[in-house]
Amino acid sequence: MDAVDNWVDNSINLEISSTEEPTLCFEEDCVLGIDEAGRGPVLGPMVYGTAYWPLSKSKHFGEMGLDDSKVLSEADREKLFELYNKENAISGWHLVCISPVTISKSMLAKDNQRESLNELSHNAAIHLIRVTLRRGVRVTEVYVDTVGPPEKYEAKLQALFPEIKITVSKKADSLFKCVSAASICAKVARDRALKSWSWREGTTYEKIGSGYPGDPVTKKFLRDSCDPIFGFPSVTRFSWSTAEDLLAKEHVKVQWTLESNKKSKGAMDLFVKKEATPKEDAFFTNRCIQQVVSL
Amino acid sequence: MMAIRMTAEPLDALSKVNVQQLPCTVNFSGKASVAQRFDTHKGKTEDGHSSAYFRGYPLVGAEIDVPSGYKGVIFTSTSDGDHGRILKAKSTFDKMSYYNWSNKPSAVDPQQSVVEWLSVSRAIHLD
Repeated sequence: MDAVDNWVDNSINLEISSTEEPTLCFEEDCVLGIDEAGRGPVLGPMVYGTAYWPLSKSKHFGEMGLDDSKVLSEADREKLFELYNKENAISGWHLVCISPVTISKSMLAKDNQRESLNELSHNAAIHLIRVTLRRGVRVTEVYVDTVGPPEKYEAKLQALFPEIKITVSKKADSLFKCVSAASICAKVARDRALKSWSWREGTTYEKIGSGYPGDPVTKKFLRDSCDPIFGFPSVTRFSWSTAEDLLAKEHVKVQWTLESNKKSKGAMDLFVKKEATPKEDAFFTNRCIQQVVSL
Repeated sequence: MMAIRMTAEPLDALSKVNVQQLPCTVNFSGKASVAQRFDTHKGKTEDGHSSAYFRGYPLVGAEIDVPSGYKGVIFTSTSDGDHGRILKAKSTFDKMSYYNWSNKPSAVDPQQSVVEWLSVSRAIHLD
């Protein structure tokens, strides 16, 4: 988890996992839980996490006090993470911290390359299962927490991993202990990442709030840190409507070339005869070359 | 008639600048915190193109050289009363970076293909 505290290049994603060899997980059938932390906030990374252990140890981990990270205090989460981490000879975890820059870039890419938050999440979950399988863990059951409708998501995962019994459900983080463990690992990582955030723009901001759009501290941070031209520091997810609206309302307007190229034809264009203007050859228009007589 | 007057001091005396072109129109003219807010996010994509980031949008770009024998010149434009405008050379550049929104840079981008005009122009205007 130290890697999260030292995540200097936080414009690219960070992947970390438990270091100890989970030997027993190579030999016995295992259960694996997946959950994410920080899906809603306009600030910081979204962390996807997985936690796994042998089915034979389910009782042991069931008695550890693991629960949905949202009902635990920050101190309790840290404590539980340490406790779980100590058991890494018979269990393991793996995390993908998706940088806010990655989130913005994916969601604001040009049409055919755009990725929604759901696609990002699904791909992260698929990646977590693959990585764990590649490590040699004998995964036989997977439990996934979901925000959207579970049926389609479950079918998607089941098709990709036909050998594994997949369960996708709402509130899985409180129903299944392995998902609780994953949610704790993910939340601890997100909190630590934000605490030790390396500010690429040169100014350090102490108080950024919870990152939820309704939080007044977050609102103040967004206002204070915004550059009228470049917008917010890269801890911000520009693709959130909170961020987009603030930029559109209060700062320099920006038109993206393709958007402004769309020449809308008004109703009058159909009736009013336009004077014929000599047409430029495509050689010039393709190269954006124009004859200029006056400026 | 309106006219454009151009004034260009010896170009060598002008400062050289870094030109970076974005694939969007920013409705602003003036100084901006480029070094702090833009340059800090420049990097390379997996296939070796330059990458950057503007207001969350992914940018992929390339650096192009001004062809030898030519010079890039930046002018400031001011009004010359009723006569038109005065363009005054302000700085020069030998290369520039340009960025596309998401798309990889290629030879058909106007920034790269514009130089083809130079050879056509030479063929029809010289001799």
